[in-house]
Amino acid sequence: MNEVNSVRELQIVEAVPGTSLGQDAWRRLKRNRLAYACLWALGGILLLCSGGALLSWAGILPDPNATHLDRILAAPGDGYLLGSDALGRDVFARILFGGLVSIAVGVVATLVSVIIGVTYGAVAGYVGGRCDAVMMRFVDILYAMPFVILVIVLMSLFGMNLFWLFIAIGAVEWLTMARIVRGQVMSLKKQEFIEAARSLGLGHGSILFRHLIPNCLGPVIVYTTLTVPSVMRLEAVLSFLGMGVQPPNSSWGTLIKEGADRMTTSAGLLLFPAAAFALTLFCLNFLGDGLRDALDPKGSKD
Amino acid sequence: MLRFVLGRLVQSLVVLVGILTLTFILLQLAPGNPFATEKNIPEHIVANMRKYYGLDRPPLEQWFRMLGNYFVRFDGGESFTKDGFTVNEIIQESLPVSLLVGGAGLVFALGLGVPLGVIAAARRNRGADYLASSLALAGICLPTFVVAPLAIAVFALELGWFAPAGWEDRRLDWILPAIVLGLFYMGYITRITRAGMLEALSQDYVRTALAKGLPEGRILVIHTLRHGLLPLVSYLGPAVAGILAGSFVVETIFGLPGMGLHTVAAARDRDMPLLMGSVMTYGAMVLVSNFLSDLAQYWMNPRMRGAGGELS
Repeated sequence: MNEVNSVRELQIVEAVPGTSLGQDAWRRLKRNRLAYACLWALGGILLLCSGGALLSWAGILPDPNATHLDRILAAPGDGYLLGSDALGRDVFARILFGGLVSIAVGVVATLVSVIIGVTYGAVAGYVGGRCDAVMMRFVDILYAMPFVILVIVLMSLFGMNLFWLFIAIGAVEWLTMARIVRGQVMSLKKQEFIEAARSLGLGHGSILFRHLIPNCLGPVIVYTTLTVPSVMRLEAVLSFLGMGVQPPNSSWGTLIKEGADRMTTSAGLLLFPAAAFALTLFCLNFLGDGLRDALDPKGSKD
Repeated sequence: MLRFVLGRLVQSLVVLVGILTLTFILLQLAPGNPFATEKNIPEHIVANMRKYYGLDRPPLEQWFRMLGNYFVRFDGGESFTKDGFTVNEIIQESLPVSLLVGGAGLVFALGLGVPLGVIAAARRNRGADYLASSLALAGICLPTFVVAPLAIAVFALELGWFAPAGWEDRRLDWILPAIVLGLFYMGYITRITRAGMLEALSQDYVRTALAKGLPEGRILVIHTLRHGLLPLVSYLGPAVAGILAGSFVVETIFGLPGMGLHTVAAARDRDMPLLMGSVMTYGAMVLVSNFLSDLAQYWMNPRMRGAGGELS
């Protein structure tokens, strides 16, 4: 009886399909309740913002840019869900629309920085030697420059529109990514599977992009989730200084700026966009932490 | 050791020349000029001004003279936009403001962040940990430009403890901006300290110490602190320069006449000499604090002194 049982168990064990690294990480992420909840919350925020923009466009929600000068600075609930601002615009609609802009900047600028950083770091690490030294010295130079200078000059060079804001922020946020990927590639390129790829006659390009970079994906994903909040914060700082998103467009940064100017009379103008912004950053940070634990099995053995 | 220091010095000079050159190139490419005002200045006067500041020379010569100014004469020249002030004077006046606010902010951030991080690690996944971690995350997620206006509203306007803005004679006005600036760094410091201490506490020698019956406090402070703070020290390298060189946001909101304010204004107004001076000051501070951070890691981590002998 006992024997039969163990044989059956053996068969069951054999029937379990092997889990890939990605599935394994996903399972671990799901077990981390807080990070998983943050993932859902982020999805919800994204859905709400894009849905809100869609509904305003369809005329169901008020237009975020429609001014009603007879109804300025209305209190929350008074015909407006979260009140109205100094030009009588609906704060709720503006937060949803501004969130879409902020998130778009966060995602697109991060993608720009990831593309630059990963390529740059991988090439430096793979080529090595003098080329690597020169490339990394250039990173040192950029590191030692105040980033705001770079962004301001880039923005004035190309004009203050959203597209160049993406590029300018991406152009200053890739440095750490380049360093991380370079370190990974340097340790990976000495391993046997690269030697095998080379002995099969693969070119440098395909070794780099098909074999080395995919193997750096774990750290890249983790650092990417942590870059999104810092990009969003940078965008907000720039908008706050009047150098980011320009009116009539709005982002959470510009809304917070407008709110801070009128904080003493109507606190909601500052508090609501600030809360939306803080909640998003909070979720992104927790998700990043959760991903780090999920993708790094060594660190999460406890 | 000497070789390491000398090597670093040469490397730093290369980086500084690189920073100045990059800023120079960017400014050459950027549209707009420092003499554009609402007033319509006659063309010949603009030409005279350009000649006075040496802007009529070929770019290569301008670049060469600019490097000479900084590395031979240690003089940034005259500011384009602040008439009658030299760059050196402006920086001498504004840097102490940023240093005071930033230094106080750093002390606040370290004084609160390190103990919080250590406690969070020692009481992992318990009440104290959740409290410390949430505090840290609040510091990171609440942007400075939200905290600053709120702090002004509460502590300056309501309670009247500090002046709401400006740099008056009241001696304590730097406290509020320092705390606001420090809160953000406090968050990071707590998180990094917590992670570093957790790593240190998982080492075998900690288990040995526990087995020997040493009290927990002694293990934390004497056995693991030095090891656990290593990641923090490497984070502080670049961060310290960022704090001390002045935060644009904090200085703008509190109206402090610090470096950050001048740097942004100089970039906006194409005030090349002042921008060069600010960028140079910031770069030098980054390099110095990175160097100090490396030295501290060398001193704190016996393994770096071990097999390899020298620092890489």
